[in-house]
Amino acid sequence: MREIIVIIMGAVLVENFVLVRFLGICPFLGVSKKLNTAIGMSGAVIFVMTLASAFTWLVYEYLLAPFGLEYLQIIVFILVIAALVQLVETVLKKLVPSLYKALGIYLPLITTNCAVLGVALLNVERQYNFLSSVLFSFGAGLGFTLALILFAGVRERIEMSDIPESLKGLPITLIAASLVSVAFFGFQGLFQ
Amino acid sequence: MKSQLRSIIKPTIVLFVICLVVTAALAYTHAITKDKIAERAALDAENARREVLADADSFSRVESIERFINENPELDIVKEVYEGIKDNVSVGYVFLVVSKGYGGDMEVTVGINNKGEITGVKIGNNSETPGLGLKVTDEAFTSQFAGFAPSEPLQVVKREKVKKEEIEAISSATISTRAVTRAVQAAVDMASQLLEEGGKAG
Amino acid sequence: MKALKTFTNGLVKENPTLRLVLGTCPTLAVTTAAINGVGMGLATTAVLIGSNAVIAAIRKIIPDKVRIPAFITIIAGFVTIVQFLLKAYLPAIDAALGIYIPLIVVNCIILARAEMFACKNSVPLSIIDGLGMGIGFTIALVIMGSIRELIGNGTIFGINVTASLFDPAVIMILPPGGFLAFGVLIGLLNKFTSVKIKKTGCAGCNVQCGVYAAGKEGDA
Repeated sequence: MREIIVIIMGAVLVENFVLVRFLGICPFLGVSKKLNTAIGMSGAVIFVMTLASAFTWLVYEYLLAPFGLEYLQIIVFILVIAALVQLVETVLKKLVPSLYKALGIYLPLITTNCAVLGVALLNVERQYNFLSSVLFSFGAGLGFTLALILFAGVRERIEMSDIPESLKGLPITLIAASLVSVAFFGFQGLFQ
Repeated sequence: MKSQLRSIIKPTIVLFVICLVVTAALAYTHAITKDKIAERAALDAENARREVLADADSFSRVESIERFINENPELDIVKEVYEGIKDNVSVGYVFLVVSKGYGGDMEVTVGINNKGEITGVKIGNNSETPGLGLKVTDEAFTSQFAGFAPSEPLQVVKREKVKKEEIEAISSATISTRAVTRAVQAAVDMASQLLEEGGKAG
Repeated sequence: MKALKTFTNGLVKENPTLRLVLGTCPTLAVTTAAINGVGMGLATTAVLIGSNAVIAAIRKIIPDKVRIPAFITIIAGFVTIVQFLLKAYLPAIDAALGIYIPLIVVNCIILARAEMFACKNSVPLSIIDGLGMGIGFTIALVIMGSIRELIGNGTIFGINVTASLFDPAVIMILPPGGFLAFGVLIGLLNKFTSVKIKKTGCAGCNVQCGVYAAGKEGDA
């Protein structure tokens, strides 16, 4: 039980994918403008990330590793993720149209989200077992969500404030992200 | 119907061929770089061993370290042990220890001579944070361990050290400091058992 | 003439990092030292040139339906090759860049150039485009790396500059410093050059690839 909490909380707080590990910055800057789009994107990311790392773990363990094909890792992983995203999209569209409506437009963006491929690669690098992999990627997804939602709030406030012309838009967002990142730095060493 | 079939088959075939060609290219690159990568890794490991136990000319792998681990499970972070040899005489041991640092696994190579003195510590592959934890790779830090036989367990302190067995933590990088210290301690513990055995045999 | 224009386009006007704001993840993650910027930049350049060349060469054979998967396969192939070569010949760079080498696959710059340039232009021109974009990316990374290394560690390319004068501000080579340096850099560019960046370009790229994928899904 303790181990489960450590893996998940570690992924959410200590090595927050967006603010500490710099994975998934693009969608972070792109869709954190409004709270509702942030929530939609986060939902899609948690879903695909968890599913993708489960699949890539199985593929690596039972297809690549036994036949000495580790060198195909990158190519196989990215194709598994791309195929999975398409599959999830099709299935959701048919079976759960309401969820598809909420997540649909974010799904295609996820293939190029480096956090998803990143978590799959980290699972292999750290030699996590199946359960740990799934938990770690779920935690990473939660961390992404936390960063996005926190930031949606920050950005809504920035919109209202009076800031120098040349800092408007992206620069002030990055500077604010730097401050939020400092806050997350406080979690360093929470678990050993 | 026929054109519909073609519109499915053609893309499939093209994609399949692309995958095939790419896979072949990767297999080829893998084949020609594989030996080089392995060779380089072996060379790096050999150099690290030489660096921490400069007295030795050659090294031979010590098998069956499991018995120590069975006795003391905390020693399971020691992954490989080598005996350093000079002129057919054993001059000490080199330990490859994998300790958990802040950013993940950290490889530490520790050299210990026949008198139980630590002759050198070198940090290998690691994922520590540049500017903080990565400072454990600096000579200034690793030299704290070298040149003495610890008479009591090593201890991490956050002040100036007053005796050799105290290791000054790098500020804001206590976890990384502890990781290295833990690795060195494991090497020291195993070395004392190995030397004791050797003493009996001799 | 067109070749020269294509080349300089990537350096200045459409600098992928500083103008189009693509590939932010590696820009922030690996620039803790200037030398890492060079390594990452050149690795990405190699992949860009390779993928641009191959995609331009077979652009007429690739059916529209499987364009994106085909591109991704080719890019992933080149990334893996670069990774092996680095591991074999420049292991220090490989160790410093770690997971960000395989992640070149999902660097928006590469897919964006495949989509916007290589699939519409000849092989030589696409190679020049890849070279220009890659060097533009490298320059941006080196600038970021130098700033962060100078303030955070007092050195540039490992050479002592101010380290002996005052204590460096370590925070600059920690994650917060990455965001800060990039934000300030873009702010300064906005201030002193005529073109303003307000929109996040990467979102633009993502949306573009995304809309494309969504459209494909629509007729499937």
